[in-house]
Amino acid sequence: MAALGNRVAALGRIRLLRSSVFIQCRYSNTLPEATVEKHRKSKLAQDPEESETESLVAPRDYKYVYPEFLPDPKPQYRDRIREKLEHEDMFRRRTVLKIPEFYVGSILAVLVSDPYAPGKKNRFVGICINRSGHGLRSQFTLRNVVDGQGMEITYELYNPTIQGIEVLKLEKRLDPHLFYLRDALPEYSTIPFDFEPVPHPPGATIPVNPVKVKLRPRPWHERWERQDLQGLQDLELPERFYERAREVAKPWEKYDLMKQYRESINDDDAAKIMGYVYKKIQELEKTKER
Amino acid sequence: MIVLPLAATKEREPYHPALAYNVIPVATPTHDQDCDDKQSLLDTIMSNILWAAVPKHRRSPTKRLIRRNGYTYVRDFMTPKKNIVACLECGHYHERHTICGNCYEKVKEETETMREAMGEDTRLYNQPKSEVVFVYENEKPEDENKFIVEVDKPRPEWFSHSLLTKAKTR
Amino acid sequence: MLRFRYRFRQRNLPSAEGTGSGPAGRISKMRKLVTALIRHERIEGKHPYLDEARGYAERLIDEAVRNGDQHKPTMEIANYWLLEKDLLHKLFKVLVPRYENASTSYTKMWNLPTVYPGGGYHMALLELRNNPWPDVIPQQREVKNNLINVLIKAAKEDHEKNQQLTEHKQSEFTDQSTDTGTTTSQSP
Repeated sequence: MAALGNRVAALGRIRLLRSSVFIQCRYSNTLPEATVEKHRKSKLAQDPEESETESLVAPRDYKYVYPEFLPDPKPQYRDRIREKLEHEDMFRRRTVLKIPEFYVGSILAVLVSDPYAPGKKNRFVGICINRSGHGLRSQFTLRNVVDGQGMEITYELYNPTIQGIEVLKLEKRLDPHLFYLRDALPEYSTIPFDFEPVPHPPGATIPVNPVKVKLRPRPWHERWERQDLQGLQDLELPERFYERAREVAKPWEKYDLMKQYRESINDDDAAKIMGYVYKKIQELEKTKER
Repeated sequence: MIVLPLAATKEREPYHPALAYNVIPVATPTHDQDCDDKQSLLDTIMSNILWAAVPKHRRSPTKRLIRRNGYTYVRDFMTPKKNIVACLECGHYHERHTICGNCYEKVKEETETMREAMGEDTRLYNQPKSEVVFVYENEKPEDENKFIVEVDKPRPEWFSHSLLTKAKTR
Repeated sequence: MLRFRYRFRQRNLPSAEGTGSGPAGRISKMRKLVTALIRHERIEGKHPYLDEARGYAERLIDEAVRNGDQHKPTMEIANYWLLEKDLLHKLFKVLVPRYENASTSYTKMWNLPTVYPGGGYHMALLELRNNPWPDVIPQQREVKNNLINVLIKAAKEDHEKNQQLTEHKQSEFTDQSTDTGTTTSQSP
């Protein structure tokens, strides 16, 4: 402990949470994971199984199909043991409920248990405008226009009250989120509740819908001209808007390698996690076949 | 699940906010007409003094002077350094977390002569297209594929030709 | 993956000479440092600036090693970060083969001795690994086989063995104590 204290003194003032030992150290990658996990009394901290079995290499796009398995990149929100436990729970849930592959822009139908609805179930159809969260807290938001009223519902993927998730149309869009649909004409967000499922052959590439959305007149929820969005028609704004957008723009962020590294899970760690996920998914499918 | 009914798709109607309540809240102090002549501005301020942020204790001269005259200066230059070690090679002193300045001077000088031998053009404007290898006096270049720079002086003893092997203990 | 100690939050460095202030100034200073590092392979400077530049240099080399020069986004990134264009060739044709199979970081950082009274800043040295210059520490002594170190190592091993033995003995002792040693009444 003394040796650790000496080494840690160089790092500064920190608190190590979720440990039985109160060590003064910073949340930093400078303290190796082994040292951190050594002080945790749970057996999961020293899991021999993972090191023994060969890790499979997942297909290249696996982290886009199962993004909820990647942990939160912020180090103060990471806990290796909690992540392992969450992954176990997520796989157990997937044995009971089929959670399909979907992307922002896909049209989904979600069946949820509702104690106040006739038949105790509630079905909502909508276009997925956003996917967020990590682990068991991963969410997606569906948008639809019902009786002239725009409506968004955010569902948690692993919520036990969800009875079924069905992908009616599997497709991608040009942007990572579709929040601009809130300011768009209602026809772009309206999906009939009796939308016929569009079959998608397994293994085929995911089609990208290149639709350009027309917005209603201003005021808008956000300054869409300042965001690099591909799925919008020409906004037809006065030139001063675009001038101000250029003044305020941060063109260096596109090349800020360290910022991108800190805001995401690096390729090697992601590959390791996805290899584990791939292995488990394969096992799951084998058991289902039986 | 979070249900968000959003802006209506119908045309926007002008927004008339209704008053939240028609009763004046009791919490705020009421205007007493009797006090109007007697209470001065100073009195009203003094009556509200409970709400002002005020120092609790007197600042001693010590604290005041340390704050004003740079306590970091005292911390850095008046606290003794206990992390000074002697270099194993030359005996010069340096702090434990730094490299030995005396040894590094030697390395720096040698690096400078090597850089001069490279030539300004190669060094600053046209980087070589392959790895650079420095060949000292009475040495033969081992690999012809690499960019060879000839240095017109004998190789220093401490600069090993085969860089991978460490110098052995004496 | 970065294989060295980096901070979780970036340093918002003050405006450096000729580079401007704020995030834009910081990035332009980083570009200059990365360019200088790739050119000279060993640079001295203020510790915070070099530490930040180290991350960018390592990431740049990592991208080049992973993707190669035929990958268009990587070429754009390299073109942005290397202000002098003869270094593009050096990055992809000299540094990538050098670090292709590396299992360590691509750079090394050292602290230079503090000059007193100085300007209140610390100087550091940043270099690429396996550069042609002489090593920063000229003679790395092999101290492992010195007599004292051999004795210390042996003593440490003995200590660990003793600890294991005492733990083993203690566990045996606890196992015995869990037996219910209650005497049962025996019929005569």
